[in-house]
Amino acid sequence: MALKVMIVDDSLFMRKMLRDILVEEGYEIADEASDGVEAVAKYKECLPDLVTLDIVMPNKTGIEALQEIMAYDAGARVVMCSAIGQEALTTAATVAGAKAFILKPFNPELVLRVLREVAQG
Amino acid sequence: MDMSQYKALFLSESREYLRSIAEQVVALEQSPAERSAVDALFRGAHSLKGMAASMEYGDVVVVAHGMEDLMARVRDGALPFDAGVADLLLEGVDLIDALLDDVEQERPSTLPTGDYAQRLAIYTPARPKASREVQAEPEPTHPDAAAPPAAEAEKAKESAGEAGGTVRVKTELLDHLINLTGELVTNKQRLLNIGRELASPALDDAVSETAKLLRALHDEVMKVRLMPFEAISDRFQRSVRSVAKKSGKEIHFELTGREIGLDRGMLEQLVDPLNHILRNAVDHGIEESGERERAGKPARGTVWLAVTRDRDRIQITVRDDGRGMEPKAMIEAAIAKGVLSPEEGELLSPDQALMLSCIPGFSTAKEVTDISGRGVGMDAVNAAIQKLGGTLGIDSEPGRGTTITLRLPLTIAIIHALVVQIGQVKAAIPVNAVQRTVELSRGQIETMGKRQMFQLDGEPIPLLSLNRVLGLPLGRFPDGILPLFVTQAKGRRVGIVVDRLLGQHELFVKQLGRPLSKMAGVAGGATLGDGEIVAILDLAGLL
Repeated sequence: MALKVMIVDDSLFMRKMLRDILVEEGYEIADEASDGVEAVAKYKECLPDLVTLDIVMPNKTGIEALQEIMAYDAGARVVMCSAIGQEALTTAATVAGAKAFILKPFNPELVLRVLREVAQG
Repeated sequence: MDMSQYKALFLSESREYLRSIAEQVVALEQSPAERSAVDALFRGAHSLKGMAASMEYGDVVVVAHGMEDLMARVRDGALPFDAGVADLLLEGVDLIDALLDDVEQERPSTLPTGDYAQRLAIYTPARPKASREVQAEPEPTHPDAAAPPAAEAEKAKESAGEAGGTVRVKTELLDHLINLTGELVTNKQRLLNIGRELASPALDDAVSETAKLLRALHDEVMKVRLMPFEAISDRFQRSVRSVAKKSGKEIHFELTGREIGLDRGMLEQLVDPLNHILRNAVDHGIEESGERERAGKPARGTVWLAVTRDRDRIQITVRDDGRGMEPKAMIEAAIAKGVLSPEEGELLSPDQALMLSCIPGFSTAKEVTDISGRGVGMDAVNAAIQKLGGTLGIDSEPGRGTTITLRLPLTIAIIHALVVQIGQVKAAIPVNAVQRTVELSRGQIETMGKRQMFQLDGEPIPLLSLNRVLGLPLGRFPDGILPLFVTQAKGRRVGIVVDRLLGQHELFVKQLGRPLSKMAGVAGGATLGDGEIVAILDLAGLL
């Protein structure tokens, strides 16, 4: 059965790119969100197997959204995504429960490998 | 992954971000303390950067990255949001907007983004709240990793980010790396000296292995420091255009090799010399179109600037198809100006005569124009190139044009130098400036007029004492052997006599502080393996 992924990113361009990469690989897109508040709300609705979560976003950063998602579902599998310049936040994200970190721009192979590893625990 | 399918989306969303950034800037000018607007601005630039990086639009990335960094400084309290910041951001919006147009039209961009990014990076407000202090703040006071403090954000910017196999690092870090490598080279020399004293084969082995590793490390660090010539080439295009306009000439300018990487420290120091050479070519080299047509040439003159790399040397040539230089006229002018005696003039070969243009105060242009006649001349250009450890050559064919060739080392920080003893001090001469060393017996010295000479390859070479030039007591040479090295000065070869030749050393060049840096003839300093400090001589400035 295809794994369900929720994509969170404030940029439509980034969401589209990620969606194409994932769909091509056979993932099902559970939902998309464009800010931190929406991400938390939609997570509770669709309970995806995996989440890709952008860090720099309006209305709650990715880190804040991550903390709320983890508080709601300690088993959540969240992969943080961000462009260069935000590496200092990897520690914060890991402490908050993120399973992995992907740097933008997205390298399709890397994205798929990381998601596969996270999905397999 | 085929990115062209995302181009339209990229363009429309990027323009949305630009619009929002411009709006936020205006809003912030009204109420500079509005935290949410500061955050939104940062996010806007950050998102633009990420999207552009995905599309591999490097110019947009550079500009957006600069804007993001600037806003990070504002967000972290290192910089107030003032009119200067607002202006820079709006300028960035315009720049990206124009770049997006280029992307949309699929035409290559010629906008100078590097200069803008540079201005952003060094921006400080009129009354600075020094950002250095923020960086220097002790970090251990913030053990809470979940709430990254300003100091950590700064650190994040300094540390690298990886994107598609490339890493972005602060240029200061590169300078620091080369400094450390240089210090290691100095220490290696020290170990070599100790090894010699101890006569320990095991130590010698270890040192020689270390030397190999250091060589490899140095090469890698140098590679990282390389920047494409492109980083400075825009200005040449502009300056050629403006000089041509001023002098009323039609010029076609061709540039090749803009992708060749040069040490970034060297690039900065090449701007002025190259500008001057180009201006000379346009101003003095290329003839008026009428004169060209009478000579059967196309009315429009051409100036070529070409950068090539041959292993560890960089060659830059500036060629024009103008009137060329007349060796005889050069010699006559030099004699008339009193910089050359008639007998010296007779000794010069045509090639050497052309190098007369590098003598201070020499110019063959009939009149001094405001474009390239005044101030720095070819002497300054030559001195600057020698300072970089390079050489300058001139080739010219009367009526056909002139070619100036600069040969430069790939690195300027670590050089090979000939170390010499003069009186009580040691000095170093970059090996690029040394043609050969000679041990001359007194009997080989000939006296011509007031000059002392010796014969080398059938050419009489005048002798000069470095001790005398530097005002040090003259050497005595009790065994009748005069050690000397041959170099090029005033367009011809000269033998420079020293007390002793101490051999070739690998030196890590350091800039001297004031007031020593103001001294003519000294290009920098270095530490020898035994800890002794030597001055690196700039012969062009000295002779």
